[in-house]
Amino acid sequence: MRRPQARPAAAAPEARRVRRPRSLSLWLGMALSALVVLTALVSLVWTPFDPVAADSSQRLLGTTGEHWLGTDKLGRDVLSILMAGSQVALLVGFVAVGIALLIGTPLGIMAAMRRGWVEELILRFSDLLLAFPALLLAIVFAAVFGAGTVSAMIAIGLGSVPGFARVARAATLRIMQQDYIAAARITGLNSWVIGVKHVLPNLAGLVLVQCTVTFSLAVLAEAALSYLGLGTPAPDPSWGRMLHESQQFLSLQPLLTLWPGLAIAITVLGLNLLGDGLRDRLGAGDPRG
Amino acid sequence: MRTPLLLVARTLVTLCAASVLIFVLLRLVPGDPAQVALGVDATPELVQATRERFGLDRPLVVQYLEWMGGLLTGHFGTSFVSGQEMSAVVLDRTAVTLWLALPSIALALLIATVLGTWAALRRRSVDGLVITVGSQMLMAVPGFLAGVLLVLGLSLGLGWLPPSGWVVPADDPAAFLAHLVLPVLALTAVQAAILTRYVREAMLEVIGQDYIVEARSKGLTRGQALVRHGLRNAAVPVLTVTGVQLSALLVGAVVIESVFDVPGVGSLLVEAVAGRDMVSVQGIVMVLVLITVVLNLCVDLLHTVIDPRTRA
Repeated sequence: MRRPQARPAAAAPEARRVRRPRSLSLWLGMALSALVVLTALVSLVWTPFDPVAADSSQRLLGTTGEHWLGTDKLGRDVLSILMAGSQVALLVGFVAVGIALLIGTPLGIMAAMRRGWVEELILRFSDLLLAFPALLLAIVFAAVFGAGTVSAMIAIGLGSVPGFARVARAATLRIMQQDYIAAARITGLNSWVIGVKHVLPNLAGLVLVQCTVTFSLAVLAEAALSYLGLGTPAPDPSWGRMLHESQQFLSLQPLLTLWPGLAIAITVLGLNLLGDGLRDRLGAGDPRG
Repeated sequence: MRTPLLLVARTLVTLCAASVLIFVLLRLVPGDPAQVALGVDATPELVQATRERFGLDRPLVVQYLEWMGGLLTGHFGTSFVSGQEMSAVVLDRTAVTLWLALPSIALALLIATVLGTWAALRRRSVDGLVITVGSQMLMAVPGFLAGVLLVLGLSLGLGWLPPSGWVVPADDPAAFLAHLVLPVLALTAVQAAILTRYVREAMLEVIGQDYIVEARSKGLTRGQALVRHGLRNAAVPVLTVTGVQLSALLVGAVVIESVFDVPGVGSLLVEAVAGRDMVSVQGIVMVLVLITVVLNLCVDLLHTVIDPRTRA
């Protein structure tokens, strides 16, 4: 499910003053995100059990001393699958954000600095991508190129390009009004140098916030795709598919469904909090001014 | 620049470009479309006959124009897989999805307006904080988890509502409503959380404005001032998000439809992808894109109505 890409900012001084608890969200967000990253790193070298090793004698166990979170329908250790599942979630997030960042940001800066037909072209291209919500694009890609992690990453990344382009364009438009840009122009710097040396550093904060927002959208989209069976293929551990597989045992082992759901929720919550905290810390208000 | 006519013209350009993109994308499927639809076991003669029957042997431009012409007259094309004309099925299924999406967004907007305004007014007290923290946490819950939790609690636990399935409204209105409740609740919960945040922030911004101070100086309480003068100004950003969320909701409903076995357009799309039925995929994606684009247009047009400043 797609979430909004930017939120209306509180520009009024009073509103800013009252939102003091937000530095808490920065720390909490960082802690939760670090937890997920750490889990993924640890799972690369160690998990309690092999996350793909089935053991038919150990099916659907509840919590035991050996299997802390129990086992699934094939007798695989749930904690191990959960840990390994963070790898796919983070991989999809990083690649999708990378694609959107590398395509969307330059397009947005270019649109704001060049104006004229270049801007018109970029805006229409952005409109075209906006017509395809990320999840829809991912389903189409799954139909055309086959379901899988790679097509999911690319589709979610492309679907997130307009968000970056819009944020970068709006911020650049504002930056271009500043005195230091006029000064740089007078000294005869060409627009490439101005773009890289003066515009880019000044919109880094906004773009960073956009990265965290997009990351959490990507994690949700990957989970949704895998839940539908159009994302990460079996037997690679994925939270979305795990949730889908355990749903038929909902009345028998409800916790089995809750664990992957909780993992997704913690990851997304951490990223959202991190985004909020960064936005406040960097003073990054509404790019639309 | 932003005259309504220009907005409509741009929307038409976007739609044309999107239709070309969809058409080209779905021609990128490896292998011959007829072969893909019939499977690898089909005899070459059958494949050739299918190609001729559906006009797949003609130039792509002709095929595209024919598809477009069909769409404009309400024909989505004939499925290579089932041999059926898809329009009736696609429209029926879209109607089912709208039954889920429209009540959900309306309910979510209503809840969000109340809770968001409340949270903005009472931002220094516990109840305001509870709403803010609660919406932050609920936002992180994927729709399908919300659905599963609702089934667990209200259906399997308390036995109040059926866990899944769908009943046509005309057949049995009571059963229809009973089947509608859980999926709508699942969609509403997450959307309401997102929208509450927007309403709260928009309201916070409005609270500091001069016209609110003025309204209070003429004797209105803070609540009265906000409801009479604040809501309209806060409406612009909130309606923008609502439009975006509604199109997200229509696509996002695909997951909820899967949780509750609801025969909506999303589950039709997933079935079509699984069955390699590319004509159906093409038609369904076009319908969803059309809805998304029209919603975006509505939001833009609404802006020019609510906020005359954007009509510059």
